[in-house]
Amino acid sequence: MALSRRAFLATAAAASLPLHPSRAAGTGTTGWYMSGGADAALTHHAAVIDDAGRTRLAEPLPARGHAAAVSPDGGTAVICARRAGRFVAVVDLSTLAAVREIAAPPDRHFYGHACFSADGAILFTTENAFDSGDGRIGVYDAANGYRRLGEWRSHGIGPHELLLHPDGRTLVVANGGILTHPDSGREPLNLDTMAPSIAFIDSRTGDLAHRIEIPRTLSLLSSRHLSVSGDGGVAVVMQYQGDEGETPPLVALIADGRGLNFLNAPDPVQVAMANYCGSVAFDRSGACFGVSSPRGNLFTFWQADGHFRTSVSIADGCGIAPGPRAGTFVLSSGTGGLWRFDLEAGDLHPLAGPIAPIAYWDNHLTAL
Amino acid sequence: MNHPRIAIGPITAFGLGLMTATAVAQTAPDDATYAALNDAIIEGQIAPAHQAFAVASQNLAGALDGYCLTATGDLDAVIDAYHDTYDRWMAVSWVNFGPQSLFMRPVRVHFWPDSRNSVGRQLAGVLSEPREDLLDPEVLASASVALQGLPALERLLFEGDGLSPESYTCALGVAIAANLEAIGADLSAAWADPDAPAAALPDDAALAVTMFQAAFEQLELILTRKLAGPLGESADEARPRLAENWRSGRALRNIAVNLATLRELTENGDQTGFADLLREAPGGADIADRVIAELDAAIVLAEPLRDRPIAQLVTDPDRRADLVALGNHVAEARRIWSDEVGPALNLNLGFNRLDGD
Repeated sequence: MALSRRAFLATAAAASLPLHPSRAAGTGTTGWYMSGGADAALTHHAAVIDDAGRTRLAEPLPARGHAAAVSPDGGTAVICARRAGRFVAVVDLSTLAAVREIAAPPDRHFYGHACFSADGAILFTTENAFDSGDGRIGVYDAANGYRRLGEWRSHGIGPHELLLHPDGRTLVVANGGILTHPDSGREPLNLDTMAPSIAFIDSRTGDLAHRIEIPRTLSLLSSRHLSVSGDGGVAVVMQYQGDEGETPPLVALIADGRGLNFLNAPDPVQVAMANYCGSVAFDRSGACFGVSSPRGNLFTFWQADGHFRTSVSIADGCGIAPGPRAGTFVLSSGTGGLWRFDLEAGDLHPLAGPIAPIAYWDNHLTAL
Repeated sequence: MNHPRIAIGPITAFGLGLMTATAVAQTAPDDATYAALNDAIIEGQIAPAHQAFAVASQNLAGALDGYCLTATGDLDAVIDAYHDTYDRWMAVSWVNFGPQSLFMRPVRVHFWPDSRNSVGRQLAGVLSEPREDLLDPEVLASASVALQGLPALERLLFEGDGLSPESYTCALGVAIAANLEAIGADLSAAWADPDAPAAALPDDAALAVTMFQAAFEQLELILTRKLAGPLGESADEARPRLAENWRSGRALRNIAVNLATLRELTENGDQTGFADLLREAPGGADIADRVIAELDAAIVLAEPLRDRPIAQLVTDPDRRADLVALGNHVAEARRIWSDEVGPALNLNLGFNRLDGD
């Protein structure tokens, strides 16, 4: 079994492979991905993977990375330090080289996610103003060496993932609601007063357009990750901070931009999600989305109208990103596996590799 | 009875705590070494065990057909085939990768733990208003997973009046067994050709990590769900109905089969197991010996209890002490697995699962 795979790998020697393909078709259609990962010695890297699953860049990071973001022209990607880290690494995708490291201001740390403005000129990051505990959106001048221009309020505590709405102007920010301070590490400090929310913020002024709050009865649902489809549908996934024996909903849709529509998988699947979602991604068409539940070794797949479709078990699976075609996804695992999943065909294929030196894929996979 | 490590709670009783950080082996096995381990485990253990499950589920379907539809069989044959099918499943239930990934196969065979009583509620609904369409195995295969598998069949066989021939209940049992036979055939065929892309297996080191994690999760499941839950903090607070398959008296039998499987995964005669890799690693021979000793000690305690009802075991002081001792051996095996086997073989546990964001 292993022999046949290695024979393939030998033919795919990476020496003369072309660099990142042209971006003419638009971001997300190249079949290339970026992710944090660790090698066998647990050194953390920013990794770029091509459409065959081969690692094309593995740049050592100062510490564990979290999520990547790509510029609209596909020329630049960043990967943020994991909460409560202090760096954002910038990678030039045309040369496949790390070019810069952005440092957090002394009284801020990064939460792990970032996104670019529609013209690529600005990079937005989620940050903790940890003296007050307020969530902030850091605003950086991507065109001028990532100089810090200022910050917006995130209109909530613990902003985690943020994405640009397809209107090109609104930032959609998942305020997970959990207060932390570097002095107490990653320990949640406010479980009794958590007020998670999704904030829609004008990226040019920082004004709050509107905010959707997790209902008070479900306030222990930390809304940390989201995905936005091309037509503005927002999928939000949660991590429950309450009792293990309870089974709250963990997935919600914001269809009209106003209210949350909580979704439940069929009972046994809902239980198997283990009250924890790690990542969410719409497919290329926006007709369906996938959710990872690494503690349940499970991915669940849903239609954009909220109907549960199926689940796929992947040990320690967490990273999920749209595949190049509608209805397809790429999935990654903390065990080091990478797969392409075709929802309509019910077909799960391992991507070839070689993935070395990355031995473990970290939480998030981002389509380049 | 006054065991040093029982006291606090059903989970802390076994010293479950946070995972300690793992160090890195000085000489990590190379890809060829991992590949040899993977091949040995798949070809020597996983593939034949799935073939055995396929055969057992086929026999179960035949026994139920005979009993329910033609009145030529007898219920004892059905019960025997049920237990044999469950034994075979418990020998593969640690596998949560490869062909197990798709079509929700594992939960369709054995949905457990069922903390919301999904099986009971779904089954009650179907039995109160019999749905003829579910008697078609293909329809059943896309119905609630709670209705499709062995836990539903267990209730039909061991709850209420049991099965009487030519009843709806019996016909539903036939459909469940046919569904299990189909899943068994699919799994067996997929594992017989693990090289096919459809087997969805990751490569060398990634597959070795996956197997290492799956074995760890099985130890954890035995400890926290199969033992600590039913034991409770004291005989008065025991909760035998949290046990696995308590209705058919299989709680300890499942554990015994699970442990024997993990023992084989570690060391399996001439075939390469995790222990063989350990013996090649510096200081690894001692780790291998100790994890095997813990598993063997646990098996010795589980085997004599395998056919005893869990409700008896958790309320009898002497047998409780046996179960606590069993749990402590499993806990120690689990600790060695995560804290010593992993680092020695350069296999990391739960990168995302245990440390997400």
